[in-house]
Amino acid sequence: MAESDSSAQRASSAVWRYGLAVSSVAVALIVTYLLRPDKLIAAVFFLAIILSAWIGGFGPGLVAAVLTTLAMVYFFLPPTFSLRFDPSEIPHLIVFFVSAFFVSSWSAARSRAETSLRRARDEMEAKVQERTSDLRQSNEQLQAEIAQRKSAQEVLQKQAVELRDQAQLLELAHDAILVRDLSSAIMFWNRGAERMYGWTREEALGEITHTLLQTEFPRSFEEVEAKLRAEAYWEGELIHTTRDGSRIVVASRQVLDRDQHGNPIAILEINNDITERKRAEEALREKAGLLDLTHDTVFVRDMSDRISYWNRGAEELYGWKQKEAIGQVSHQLMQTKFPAPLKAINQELLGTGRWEGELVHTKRDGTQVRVASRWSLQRDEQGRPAAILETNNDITERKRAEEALQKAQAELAHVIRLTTLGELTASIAHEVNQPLAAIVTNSNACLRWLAGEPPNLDKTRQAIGRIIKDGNRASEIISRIRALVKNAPPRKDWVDVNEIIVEVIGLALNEADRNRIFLKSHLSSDLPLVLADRVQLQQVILNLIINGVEAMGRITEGSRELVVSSENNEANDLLVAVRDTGVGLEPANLNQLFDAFFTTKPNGMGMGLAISRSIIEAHGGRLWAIANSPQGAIFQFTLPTNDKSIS
Amino acid sequence: MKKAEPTVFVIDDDGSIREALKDLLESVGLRVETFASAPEFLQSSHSDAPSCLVLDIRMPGLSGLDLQREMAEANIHTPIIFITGHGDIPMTVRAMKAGAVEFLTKPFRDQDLLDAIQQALDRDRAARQEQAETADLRSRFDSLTPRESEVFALVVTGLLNKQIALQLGTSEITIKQHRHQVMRKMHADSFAELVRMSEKLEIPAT
Repeated sequence: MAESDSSAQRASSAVWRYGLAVSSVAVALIVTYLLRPDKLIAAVFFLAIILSAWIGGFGPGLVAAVLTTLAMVYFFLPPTFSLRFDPSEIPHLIVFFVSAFFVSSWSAARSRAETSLRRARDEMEAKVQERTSDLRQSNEQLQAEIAQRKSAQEVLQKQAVELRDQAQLLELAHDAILVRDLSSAIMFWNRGAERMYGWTREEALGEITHTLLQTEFPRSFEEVEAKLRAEAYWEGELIHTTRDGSRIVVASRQVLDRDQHGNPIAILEINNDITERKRAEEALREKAGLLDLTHDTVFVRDMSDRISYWNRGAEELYGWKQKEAIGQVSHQLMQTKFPAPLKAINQELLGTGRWEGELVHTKRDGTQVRVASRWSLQRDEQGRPAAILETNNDITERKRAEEALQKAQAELAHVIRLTTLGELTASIAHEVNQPLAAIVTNSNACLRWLAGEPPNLDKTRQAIGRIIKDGNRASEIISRIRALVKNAPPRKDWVDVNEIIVEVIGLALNEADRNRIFLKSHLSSDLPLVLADRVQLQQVILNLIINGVEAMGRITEGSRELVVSSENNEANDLLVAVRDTGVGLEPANLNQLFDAFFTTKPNGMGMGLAISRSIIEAHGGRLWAIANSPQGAIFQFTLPTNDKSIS
Repeated sequence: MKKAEPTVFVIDDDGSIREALKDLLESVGLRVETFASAPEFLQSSHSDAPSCLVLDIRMPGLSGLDLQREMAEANIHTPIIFITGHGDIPMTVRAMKAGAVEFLTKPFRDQDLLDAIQQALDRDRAARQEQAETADLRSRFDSLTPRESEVFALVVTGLLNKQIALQLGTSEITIKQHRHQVMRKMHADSFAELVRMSEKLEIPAT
């Protein structure tokens, strides 16, 4: 409809515009005719064309130009009142028409530009009018609001001041304490807040908290506000940005304060910087994440022993699931039995950053488990203890096996001692025979001194003295052998190692003789006493000598010499070496030499060296073998000489 | 040179045994020297007096048997009495074959030891006397001129002066004079004694 309306409008305007062109030309014709019928006055016609083009546009202008040209031909060019004309007039006609055409088109263009300019100005005017009215309206609204708020603020401010006064007491607190009004403008800012965030009180007062601190909320500000309105309390973690641009994590507690009518007045906010703690926890948790992969038992506890991490290995060993264990106090949960007072353990942990030891834990099913426990202390950037990582290995089985093995070894050691002794009966007989022979000889001498004329009593007395001495010596030898045969528990005395070597050489001499071996000793004369089990040391040295003798028994050429030596080595330990010139050591066997049941002897049991080594190690020493030059082997052991071995 | 008194050398690594033996032997008036090891004995100097060794077979380092061997190699013939804690037969045989006087097992009867020592000293005394006599003869023999030595060698084969003179291409008178010189220088009282001397000196027949 609108379209047909506008097309009708356009049609009527066209009729009007073209009509104007025709009539203006007609008027120009009449005017010209009335003024001077004999003279053409072109200016009047131009006026008609300009008018038509200005008002009607280019089309009517053109029509007016054509009509004018025709009128000129008809009315003014001879022969007048005919459309014929003298051909010599053609250039004049063309010039006139072209001029008319240009005038028409220029006039139309000008008119069009003017029209559109006017239209644009009109539109602008309308818009400005509209906007102005909008602004005015909102300004009025704002003013109303401000007025309203101002009155409310005045009421509230009084009560807020009261709250601020109370907050003053909190000035001394280490935490950041601030009070903000209901529009979050800061009303109070304590020294803790100054320290934590970097802004002074003067700078912070009046600022909007969450803008100043660029608060990042767990979920949203609205949620926090809603909870505060509903429950008057909110607690959670926030991320704030301090003045120097660093982001800190704070544990925030916020309380809504109300007046006596229950209307909210202000919010008290207490913030505690937990960035470091979070970072340490995060670091630990990251590491602990990896630890879930291991089968070892790993858990993390804070400084009050509450479990914060519990890996899969811990679930498997102790039986508590992660969610059951976390938050529990570890030593209570597992009824930990410590090898030392917990205070001492913690002291060591804080001092050195680590602790190792054996613990007994009670599992969820009530059974006990023995663990090798390693603790390490995690510190935050300020060096404050933050958490403890505890790694535990179940050694219950190992411990049991170790004990069983120890028992078996002790029994075997006894058997081997007896076996070795069996081989050495001849030597033992010699050992006992020696003082007996001396006694018999002395007794004979005694009789002869007495038979003299007169009897030589002095000499007799001396001989009897020697008889007593040798009798005692024989008795000592017998009790020594009895100790060697007996499966006596180890006992440590201060012993002279040289003395032991000499005794053992005495025992082994016969065996060496039978194998035609020179048994020598090079003993350092200034050795300190060592705290050791005499019988066990005898056993070790005897074992090494017998091994050496057997190694040489199997060779057919070269010298057969076995040297037992003692000395103080560079480390100030006592070093005893047994050097033989026997078959020597196979490099391939070096590693297993000291393994139980390893032997290169046709009838060997392979226990001698294994037991010897465990004896020496139990004394805090070391037993090892190296090659002798040009042939043979050296078996040597060390014994600590100071009080190291007492423990 | 020390006093020519018979001496017993006791070598045993066991101090008690050494002392007991020294006392026992001194109770019968013997002179005793004790040593704790074979090398200690070898390093000491000894008199020319008759002597013997009481030697423990089993000692650390150089054993009794080793010492016996070394002494034989060095041409020292001091008689040896072995004592041992317990002797096995092969060891005994070895020691006796190498010239040991006795092999006693500890503890031994004192009389057995004293007898063995007496026997050993007698043997050493005889050996030393024998050695001394031979040395004396040797020096007498060495004082002969070469011609006298020749005559000595031929005389003791039983040849007559005439035969010797013929063999040496000289006169019977000269041989007679040489023979007289030999008898005198050798301190021989009779022809028979001269023959015995030649046997001792092991003078080869030319």
